[in-house]
Amino acid sequence: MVCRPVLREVALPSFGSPLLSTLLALAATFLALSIVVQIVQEFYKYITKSKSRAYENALMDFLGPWASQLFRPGVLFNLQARGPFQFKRLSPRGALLPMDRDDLMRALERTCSPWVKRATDAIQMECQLQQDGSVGASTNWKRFLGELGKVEKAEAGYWDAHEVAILLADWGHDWKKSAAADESGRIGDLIVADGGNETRNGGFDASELRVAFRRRFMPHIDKAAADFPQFERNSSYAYQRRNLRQTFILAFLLALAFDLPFDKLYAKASVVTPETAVAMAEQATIGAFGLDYLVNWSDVSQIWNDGLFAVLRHLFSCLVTALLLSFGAPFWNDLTSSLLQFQRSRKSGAS
Amino acid sequence: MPRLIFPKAAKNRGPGFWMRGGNLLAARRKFLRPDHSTEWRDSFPSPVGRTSRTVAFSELQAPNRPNTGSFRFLILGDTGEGDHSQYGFLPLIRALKADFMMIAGDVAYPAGRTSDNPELDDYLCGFFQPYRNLNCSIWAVPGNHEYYSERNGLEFFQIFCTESFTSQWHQHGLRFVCQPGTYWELSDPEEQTGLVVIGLDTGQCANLDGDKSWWQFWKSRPKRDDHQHAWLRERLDRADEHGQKVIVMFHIPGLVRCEHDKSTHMGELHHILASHPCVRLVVTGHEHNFQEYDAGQFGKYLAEVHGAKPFPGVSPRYLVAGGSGAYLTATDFKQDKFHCLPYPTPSQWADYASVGRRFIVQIGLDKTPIARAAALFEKNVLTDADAANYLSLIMVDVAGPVTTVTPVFMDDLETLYPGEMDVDVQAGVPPITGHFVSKCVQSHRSFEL
Repeated sequence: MVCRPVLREVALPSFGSPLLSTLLALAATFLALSIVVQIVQEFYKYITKSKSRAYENALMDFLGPWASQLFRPGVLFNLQARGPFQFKRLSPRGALLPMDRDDLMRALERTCSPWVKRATDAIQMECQLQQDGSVGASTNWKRFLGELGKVEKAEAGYWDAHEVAILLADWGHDWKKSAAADESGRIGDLIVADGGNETRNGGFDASELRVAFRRRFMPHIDKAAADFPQFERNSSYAYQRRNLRQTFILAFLLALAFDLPFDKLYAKASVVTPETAVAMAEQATIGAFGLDYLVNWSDVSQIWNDGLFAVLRHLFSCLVTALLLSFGAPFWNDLTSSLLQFQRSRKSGAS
Repeated sequence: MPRLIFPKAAKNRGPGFWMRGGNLLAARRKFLRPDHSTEWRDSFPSPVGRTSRTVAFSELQAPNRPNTGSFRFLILGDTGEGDHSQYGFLPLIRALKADFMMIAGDVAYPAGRTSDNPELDDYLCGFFQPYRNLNCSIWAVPGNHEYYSERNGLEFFQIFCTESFTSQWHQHGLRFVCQPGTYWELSDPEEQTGLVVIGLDTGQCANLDGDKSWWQFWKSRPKRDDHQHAWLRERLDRADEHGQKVIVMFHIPGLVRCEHDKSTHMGELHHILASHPCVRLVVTGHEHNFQEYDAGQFGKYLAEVHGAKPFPGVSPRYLVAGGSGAYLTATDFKQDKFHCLPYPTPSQWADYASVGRRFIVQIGLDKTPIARAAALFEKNVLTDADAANYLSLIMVDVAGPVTTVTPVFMDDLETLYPGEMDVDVQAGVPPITGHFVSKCVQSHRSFEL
């Protein structure tokens, strides 16, 4: 004997069903409110440079306090956009927008000390020249080495120059300490080969030197470059989270300010006629409902008279409204459209 | 009277600076934020290029300096927030001509912050700018104020233990030698001197034991710092084996104001110190004055408070040395259970502090904003924002196997520059003459390790 499942007929809401009308009116209301929240939020984001701030925070989390050097006035002047009210570029500050990997690494290199930056540029040029077939040290390189040797101890960049000189000495670029150099506290005079044209190690491999140089002076930048894909993911996640937080807070404030707790919205939606519900869904704007439909200021003062429990219940209900509004306008638009379509299909089926 | 010229940076960082709302809050984060220093410390990445926490003294000395086994270094504690008292100590620091310096915590008041706004950058105002052009390397251990930062001490770690801030060091004329972590060891691999200096990290609240009071039911239990304890034990075992003498330096003291500070939880640390005869000197900071406890007093403290059994006759000396630039705190405390030699002496303190300030100290509100507010009305403070009086540091001279420790006290900057003259305090111009320097160097109180 075969047991057949008994299919119980489920009573689907039909055209004219109070539940469907209620849902439709509620979805239309939330769609309209979501659009308001989104407009306010976009304005807030623009005014507060939200994207730039989210990016800066993500950079601080990624790099640590070191990243604060990037935001010092003047460091990234040409990479920063103007703020919302910065009609003239009087202040050196600006908004830093997300950068790709190479741009960010170049920006980080700007936080290095002047002699490290100069050495990086000089080595980079040597690399290019060697790739183009040049043999031996270029004039630019020799000039750089000569200037490096002339840095005196009293100068601000001495310790930088000194550290760079120590590394370059390991690569065959030696400085000798003459009496004059000793007296002035200079790093020294560059040792030149016979003939005075070449450094002692004129045939050095610039690309190898570049690797060694970066490992010595920029290990933190190379590490940041290696971790960049994760930073992008983190940064994107942080921005989404910030947006969601803003939406929720604005929605909650809206619900509080205009007395829009969920229970009240539901109660209003439940008494809407099917025709009105369809009309609300078709023109989901506050203007279409009339503000009177949503807001009744006299109720607000009543809540405070009803005691603590009523206030807590009101706050909780506003939180529910905020939570539902956090789903965003696209969600409520899809839901409203689906319900409207369903309503129409039921209507045409019935006729 | 000399006319003292302070740099512009020293302005607005006197007692009034501490009364600002943001600074008040930031400097009291220990009440607002549970102490998870061990976890924070463990989360710091390994310093690049260092495989060990041990570095040779020679790395800190000037390059190309012949390694003769003789050098001098200074130990400062609680160096100040970039106010006049911190700058006022600079002529003497320069005159002592040290090869390198160490700071026993609280480098960046009030909260170890870095910022893109220079006035809010505590390291810039309290460290880089005051010590500009000293042309030496400086190592430090973090104090509680470094852990009050937004990123829980990561700022200190990045500045002292990574290459990220090298340009800042070099732009300010300081030699940068990367520290191998927030706790470290300096030693002499050639064993010419037999000296070892160990710097420890006591975190935000000196809770290395991971204790929690029974009534703090809302707090999660902090993690015990087993890594640091094990590392310290291993390094001291090694020093014992090699017959070396060790100076241990950390920020928050257990023994202070001649009593045990019950808010500290460092029992394991003190047991380790007691069980290693190689430890000859313990230097701490945190309290803004100088207190010297002889070996007998510290041995008694180890035995009575921590139940440790130090080797007979070889207990280390113990110094609280946090008077290197931060505002002064009282030294007229009761000396019941333990005894020390304080600086400034109680009579000097009575002369220095106003009646109101002394009353505040008596009711236990020293080191609070109330004390700072009272300081605004003190005579020296009114004339000089925060005068450089009764400052102290420790000078360590190493000459082969002989290591001499000397306290250095500066009663008053004016006495070092007698007569009418303009004194640029930051540049140390004109330099203090040897006669006046020797007035500050307390040779009669120096001792050999």
